[in-house]
Amino acid sequence: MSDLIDRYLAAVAALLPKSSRQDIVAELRDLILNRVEEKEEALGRPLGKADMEALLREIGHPIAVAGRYGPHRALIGPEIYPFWLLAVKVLLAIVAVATVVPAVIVMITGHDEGHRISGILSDFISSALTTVGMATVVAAAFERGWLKVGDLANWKVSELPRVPEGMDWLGGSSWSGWTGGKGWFAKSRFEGVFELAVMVLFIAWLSGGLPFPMERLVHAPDGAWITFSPVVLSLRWPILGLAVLQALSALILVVKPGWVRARAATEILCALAGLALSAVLWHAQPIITLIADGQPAPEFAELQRVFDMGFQIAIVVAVAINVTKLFVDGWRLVRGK
Amino acid sequence: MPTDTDIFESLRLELRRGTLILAVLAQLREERYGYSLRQALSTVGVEIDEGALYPMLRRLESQGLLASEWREEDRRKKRFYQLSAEGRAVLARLADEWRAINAALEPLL
Repeated sequence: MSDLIDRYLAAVAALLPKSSRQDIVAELRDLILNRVEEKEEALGRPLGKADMEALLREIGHPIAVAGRYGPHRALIGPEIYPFWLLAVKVLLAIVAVATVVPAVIVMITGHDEGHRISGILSDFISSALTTVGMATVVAAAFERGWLKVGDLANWKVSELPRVPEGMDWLGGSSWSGWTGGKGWFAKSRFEGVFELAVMVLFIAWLSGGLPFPMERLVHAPDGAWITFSPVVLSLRWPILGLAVLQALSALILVVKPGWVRARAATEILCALAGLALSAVLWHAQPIITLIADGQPAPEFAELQRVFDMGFQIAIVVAVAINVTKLFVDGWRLVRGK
Repeated sequence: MPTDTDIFESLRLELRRGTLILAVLAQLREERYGYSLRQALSTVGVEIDEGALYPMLRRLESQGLLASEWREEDRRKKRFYQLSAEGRAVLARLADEWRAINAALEPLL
């Protein structure tokens, strides 16, 4: 009988912190012996092995008993849990977009040999699990106070996302006449997540971190090729800088949607950079040249003309968008909302 | 889908959790060891699971509300707990709080 008690206590002790192990086990032993005496008195006979088993089971599984002495009962408590859940949703959305975009590229460029797509899906599962694991570790660190809550505790109402139009059900009156709702250039947080993921992938590709089968994309039928103007290669770093700015803007939208001025300033910088880029590309035309056998191909003259016109229209549209963005974000910068 | 009994049980446990600490502190105005404390509580109608009681005693001690010492009684070493000075002060405040809550709730119930 005593052997059962010793085995039970040893199992509990193995899970207790060393500093308090002896103390807790001694107290538990006293509790068990008291329970044994109580039971023997009730039964009017000494306890058998089966009685002892039942009594120890009643006290609880060693893991559960040892767990009750721990400083923390929950890995992530009710205060931190909603933040963890939101972070996991956002991160999974980013991972999903980051998985879908390369999959689409693989399909467009005809690089899919079946296993590539399944490889990407497998990457998604491992990335998603790693992401959830990392978020859990960080949340647990907050829960235990290893990381200071700081920013979460000092939140401001003014930093919350703005109320989009069509939310009259909120019942307030202050925004009934509000006109600054979701216009052409207003983005939701989800759109911000998508933009951030796309920009991160684009930056990874441009900086050489992500292979992109460009040669397959530009390899036209009949032996024709597309070549880019040398200026495109020289613009690699400015384009990278613009992409970083755009990613920063998306990050602000996702993490601090209430920072309207910071985001407007970043968007203005992006628009200015976009205008400068448009000007450089306009003067460097033709940007794309169709060639065959290493020479510009006369048989593609009509196609070349369509390409050029398409490019010019794209530049004009880009300029119009960027100029409009300058006004809209300039207005947001001034108003701060 | 939780049944009405599940919901009631969960609410009952939530309601009891705070009051158990109050009962334990009140019973430890005089020195007791874990088992005798549980019996004393049971006698006045407050049932408490040992699995919850012992960790609670250690937590209250680590918070400075209880003092403890090991002594031999009935040929066995036992750990005796008693309210510390700080524990007495906290108990007095908690008791006032309890009476105030009780007074506020009673007319509503």
